[in-house]
Amino acid sequence: MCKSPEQHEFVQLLEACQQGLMRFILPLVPCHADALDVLQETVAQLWEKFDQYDRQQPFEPWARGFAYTQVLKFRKLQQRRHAKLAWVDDRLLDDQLIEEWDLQQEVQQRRTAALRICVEKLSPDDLILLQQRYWAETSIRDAAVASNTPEHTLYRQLHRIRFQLRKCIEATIADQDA
Amino acid sequence: MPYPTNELELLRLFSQICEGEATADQQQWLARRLAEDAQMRRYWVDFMATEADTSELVRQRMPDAGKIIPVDWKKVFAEGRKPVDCSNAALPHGLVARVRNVTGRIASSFARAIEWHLHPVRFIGVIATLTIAMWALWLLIIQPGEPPLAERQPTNPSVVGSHVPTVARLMRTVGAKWEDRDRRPFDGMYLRRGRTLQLAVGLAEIKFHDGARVILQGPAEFSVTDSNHGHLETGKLVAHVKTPQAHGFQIETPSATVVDLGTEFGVDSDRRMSRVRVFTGQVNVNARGSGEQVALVAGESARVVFSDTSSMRHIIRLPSDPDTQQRFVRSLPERPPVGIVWTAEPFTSTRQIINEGRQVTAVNLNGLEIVMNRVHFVHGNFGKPAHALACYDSNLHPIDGLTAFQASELLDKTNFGPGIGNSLIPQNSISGLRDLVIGKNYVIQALLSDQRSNPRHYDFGHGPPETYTLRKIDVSRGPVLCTGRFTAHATTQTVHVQYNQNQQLNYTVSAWQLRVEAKPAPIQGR
Repeated sequence: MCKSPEQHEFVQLLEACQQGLMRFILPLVPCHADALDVLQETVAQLWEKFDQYDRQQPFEPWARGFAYTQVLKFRKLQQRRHAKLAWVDDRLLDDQLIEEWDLQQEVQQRRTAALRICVEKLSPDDLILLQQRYWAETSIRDAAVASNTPEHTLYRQLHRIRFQLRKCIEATIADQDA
Repeated sequence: MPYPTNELELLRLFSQICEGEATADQQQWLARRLAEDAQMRRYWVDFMATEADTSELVRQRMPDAGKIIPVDWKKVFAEGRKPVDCSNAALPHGLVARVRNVTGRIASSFARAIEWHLHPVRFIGVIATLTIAMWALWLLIIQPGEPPLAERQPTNPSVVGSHVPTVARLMRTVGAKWEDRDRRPFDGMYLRRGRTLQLAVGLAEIKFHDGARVILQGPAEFSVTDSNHGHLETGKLVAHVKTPQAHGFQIETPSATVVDLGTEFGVDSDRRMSRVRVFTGQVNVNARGSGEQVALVAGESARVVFSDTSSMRHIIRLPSDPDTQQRFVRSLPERPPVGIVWTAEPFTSTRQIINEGRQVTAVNLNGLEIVMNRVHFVHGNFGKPAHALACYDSNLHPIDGLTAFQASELLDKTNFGPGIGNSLIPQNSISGLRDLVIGKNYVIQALLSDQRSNPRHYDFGHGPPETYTLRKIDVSRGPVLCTGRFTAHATTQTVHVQYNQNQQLNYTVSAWQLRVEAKPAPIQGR
């Protein structure tokens, strides 16, 4: 392992807030793979500017600023590439979404805890489908082609799992309340 | 299904957007809805948070998952301007290692998954095996990919992504209207150094990172200049400085500098002159330009003005004046107890409340949680009629015009639809459930609240009378939404919600609803 103390500190700080950053980015760049790209670029920027980071301040809000810059950059790039389905680039809407995001912070902690329970209940096949969906380097389309499975079958599975997880979160929280 | 008309379809659209499967029209539709509908935003942000969490949680369950989302560290540590400590930096939790470790397992498990997806077709043959092998190969190859954002542009300091650190936070507001057009402040917003707030009316509480709290009174123009430092151009504020590290907190005005020595004080500035009043503790007041300084203690006030004879400012002590004290608002009013809107149609009535500036609590269509919110977060329209069950003001008095609903018509038409029964008056049961379908699952919810502060416990039961079970509910920390599920029987005519049968308690059921439990869409084979 070859890390300087500064790199080590950086990785640690990032570890604590990476999930928060993903949650911040996703509503603005609603595609997991794209959001990961934005995160990657954000991390690179953060490291580059790490010597400007004021240790007295919390890391995550500082990092979030970089994340938003990268969101805007990413969209610009998408537009330049004429990506078929670039998500709207609307600063005003961003503001509204960030505001909402901010408001939900507290509630979300509970939902995350509930989701953790719900993910444990997933069938092995569903779990693997999700792992493939989010973390494999291929798209669902590729997987569908490769496995000769109709693409829409896989999508339908993903819709179903999302829906199930959602219901499960709500039921879990309701049970805790009751 | 071009545009969603109910929750299920909306979820599907979100899901399609995640998968890049939505049409451009659908995306635009959603963008428009998001812009105009706070509830839609809420739903969207919540959905995406779940999406982010799901991806992370399933990642953690992958074999050899690192603690951190895989980032290409080599790129991070090599590309920056910083000197690299180690020429061939190892990848601490690198992508390469991760993929190599999981490929085998995912590929074989995914084969099972696909097999399962194809059931009952049972389509696993030579070709499938081959293609799966090809697909596994895909995984093994770390695709170089095109550099997604190769060029490094200078960042724009005016946007949220500027590198200016935050120094304070806007905690909450009461009746605030802002003149800031482009980036409207919101409760809980972090404020960057140098950020100016233009409060037209109302009150705003700002907490500096070093601990000082400021209550700003509109109209006012105030900047957070540092984590222990503010500038009041015009308007009034009261500063509370209680924590030791906030000592030395400074408020500047165009005419004076007020340095706190552990206290609570008020400042009033109108560009030409400033008034300072100390409520507790002590402050130093400096007149700008002249260097004149006066120490004020609790109960004292002073004014910083230009003298009649010279162009220098000087400080005049003021007689103790109860009026001066009254002019300052020293704390934000407590959040009033709030009423409830289950859902938020019709629009017009909701707007009415906004105009009246009342606060309500929303229970979201999708969520079971209770959201304490300003009313404008409540109005919403999910396409399908989503009627307000009931709406109460902060004293839990029903607000006229929002109690009407037609339960029986709506009960079975939506998966999430509002249910039946609304009562401010304590009731023990909801009866006459004509629309229940035998064997179908229902959810009953009731919102219990008690305006007294000491802890109270209620029993909440649900289901047909012969089967309901009771649970203890603690409502001491605010309204609690209770939920129960039951299956309708042939004899189900009433549903009971019961709280402490044996005791006389001052409870309130703010509202209840009954809804059909949505079941996941049946899985269809090919």
